[in-house]
Amino acid sequence: MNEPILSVRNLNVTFPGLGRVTHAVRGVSFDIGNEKVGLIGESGSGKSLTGRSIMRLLPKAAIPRADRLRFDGREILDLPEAEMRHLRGHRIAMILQDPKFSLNPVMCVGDQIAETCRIHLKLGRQDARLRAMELLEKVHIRDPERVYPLYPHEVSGGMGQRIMIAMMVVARPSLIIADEPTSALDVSVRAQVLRLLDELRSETATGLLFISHDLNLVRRFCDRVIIMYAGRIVETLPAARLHEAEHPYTQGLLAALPRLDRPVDRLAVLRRDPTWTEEVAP
Amino acid sequence: MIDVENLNVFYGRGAQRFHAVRGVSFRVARGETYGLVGESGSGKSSVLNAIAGRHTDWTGSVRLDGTSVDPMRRTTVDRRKIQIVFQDPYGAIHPRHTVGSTIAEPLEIHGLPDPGATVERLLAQVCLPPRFRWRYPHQISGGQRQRVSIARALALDSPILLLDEPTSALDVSVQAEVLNLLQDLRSERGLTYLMVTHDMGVVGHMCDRIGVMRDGQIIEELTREALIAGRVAHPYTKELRETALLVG
Amino acid sequence: MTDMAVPSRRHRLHAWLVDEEVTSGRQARAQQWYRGFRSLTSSPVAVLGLLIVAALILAALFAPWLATHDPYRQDLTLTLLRPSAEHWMGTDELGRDVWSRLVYGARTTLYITILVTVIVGPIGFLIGAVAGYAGGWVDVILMRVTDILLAFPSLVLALAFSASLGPGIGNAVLAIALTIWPPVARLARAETLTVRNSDYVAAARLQGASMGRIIRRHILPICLPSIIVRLTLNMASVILTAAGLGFLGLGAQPPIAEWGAMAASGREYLIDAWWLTTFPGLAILTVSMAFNLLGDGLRDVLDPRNG
Repeated sequence: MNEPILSVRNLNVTFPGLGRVTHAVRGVSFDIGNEKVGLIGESGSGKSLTGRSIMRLLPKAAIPRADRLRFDGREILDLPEAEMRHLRGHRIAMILQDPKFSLNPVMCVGDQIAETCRIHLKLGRQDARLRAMELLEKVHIRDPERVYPLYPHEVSGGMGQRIMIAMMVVARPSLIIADEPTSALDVSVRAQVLRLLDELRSETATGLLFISHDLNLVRRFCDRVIIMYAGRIVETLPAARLHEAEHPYTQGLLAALPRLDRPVDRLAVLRRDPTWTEEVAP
Repeated sequence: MIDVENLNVFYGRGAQRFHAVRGVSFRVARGETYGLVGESGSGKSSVLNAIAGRHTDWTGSVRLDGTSVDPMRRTTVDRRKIQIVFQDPYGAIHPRHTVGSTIAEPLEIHGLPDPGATVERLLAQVCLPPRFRWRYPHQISGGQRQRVSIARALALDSPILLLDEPTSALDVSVQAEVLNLLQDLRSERGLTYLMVTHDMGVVGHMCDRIGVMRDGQIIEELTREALIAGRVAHPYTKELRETALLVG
Repeated sequence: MTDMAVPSRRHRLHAWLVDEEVTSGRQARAQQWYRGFRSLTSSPVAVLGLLIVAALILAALFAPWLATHDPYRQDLTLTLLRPSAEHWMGTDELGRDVWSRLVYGARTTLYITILVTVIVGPIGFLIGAVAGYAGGWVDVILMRVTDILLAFPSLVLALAFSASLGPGIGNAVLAIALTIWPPVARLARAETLTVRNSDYVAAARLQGASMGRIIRRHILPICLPSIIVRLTLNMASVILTAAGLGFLGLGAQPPIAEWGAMAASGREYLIDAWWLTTFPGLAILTVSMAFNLLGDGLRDVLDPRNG
């Protein structure tokens, strides 16, 4: 097998607090190659912290530790901050639930894309502008002329995500970390954004870590699913076989989900077993 | 129980006046759960806010339990008929009030006797231990907050509950608990629900009849059985329905 | 904290204050206060401010015991004495002991700040909250009045008011209060606007709560922290304005000991008797700085955005 794009071994994130230490991510290990990996868990499961550890964008108080956190053959946790910044801009991209936090609020969206073109493609001002227009069209924005001069607060959530993706088309990252990228979007827009992500990936080998709480979505969009509970990975399985999950937690989640294809009178309530937090995933 | 006819809801004034809901009509029988489904901007929340009295700029007829309500003026009797459970469990309860005083507030407003005992009874009904009375919202979880919000809505014994995306901010496992609780309360107390949501799975599980909204209108009305069986006419409804299917 | 083997009263109290199983409303409120106090005292700067303010309050309370002389007794044989063992901070031009007058001056300062705060807090909050909650023309009228008062520098306005009301402490308090409520009202209005459309206010309104009830029960608890912070920070400027009025002869009248007036009367002897202006000046500086530090500390504790 080829060298994976990202390789994580025994990742731990702790928060030293008053008196006791909170262990938010406990010994997480996984690899991502040229594939779409879904990371599923409920709030507090540590799924977002795992994604942020890879970007090294953790809250100040958090302490990440890992036996290995290797991206493109380099140890991320040892990189100096300047190199990490370069990596973030060029090699690893992150899409958050609300694109407003990732875009510069005082710069119009078109200029932000053009800026990316100038940095990555070494284009002149005029060329960069033209290229930005093309990119807006490429991410299926119908009226680029109108959208170009808008500021981030003037565009809708779906539009913002498409603009984020347009910037990635230029930067060509080899790893995309998407943290609930479509949770705030409507169904129809959601489908478009996901299709765009797929298009983007089809052009170069890109790993995608898709962090979500939406079982249906991950099941349909991803190749592989990792399920996290209380900071640990409880199970990893191919997305197509999610319904064959063996761990009681995954089964419980699936049973608690109201579904049209399997109507029930009463939803099954997840019974949390304290041993789940002790068990080490294989 | 809820009888809405030709409801039109407006926002803004003058040239910017926006016609958010256009001629929506539907009826909800006593003890029934009716779901309004749609995406953001479809007008489903505007319908709910107009019925609740939160938004006053509307025309048409809204009858609650047989008597029609005035857009601008609500009587005490009107208010006691209807309560809302809000979407965001963090914004719906006052951050500096204890759980007990949040639940007791409607009782105090309407001058009902012995709020203390009622609060304990309501907490028990939403399956929270009595000691939660003294907790502040930041000391309890999102699902527990939503239970507090439901307890507050039950306080006045209102026959109608408006549910505004009651579980969309919650995790799947917590959502199941809250939906079960809502079902239990409905059968125990004979409540009538009007539920607004974008989640087809939740609608198919909870609602007897469903109105699919788009651009301020109900484009299709169907029963739970029809939704589950896939007997839907409108392509938009089909698209929405597919999001709630796990097999594929 | 170190000796866990013996469960003393203190440990039981501590356990009661941090226990998650709250059993009464009193305990819930005590816990809120305790958490606030703990986080306030975790900042050394805020603690310094708190200590100085506490010292000011103690000095005012125990002035008769702290003072070494009668602050009002004149002795023209002992004028303008340098600081010495007998007179710690020297004597003024009428032979009065500066230290004793400074200690009694703490009373005047505290009197003015407390009175101004008690007047300004409720007025500012009420005007701001009503303007913000009611909106429409009520908002327009109340806020234009506020804007007009805000347009003048507060010392100039206070001067104008106290000149027209006549000199004296009471009038100085009134004049200062009239000039500093507008920022409080603005603040209260801004906070009110942020919570006016929140779901919990909507819930109360839909249950039929009156405007008075919503302002008292829902808006007040949200505005209170920032208003307390604002008022604490304001105290420094109240003290300075009061001293300024005193300095100009419009505040406290002789022979009342007031720091601003003391500094003013020492002006003529600045070269020969530096202690007359220096010590009251230092007192004003220290106390106003302490209120600022305390205000900053309180902001970190009370501001919900930091919680």
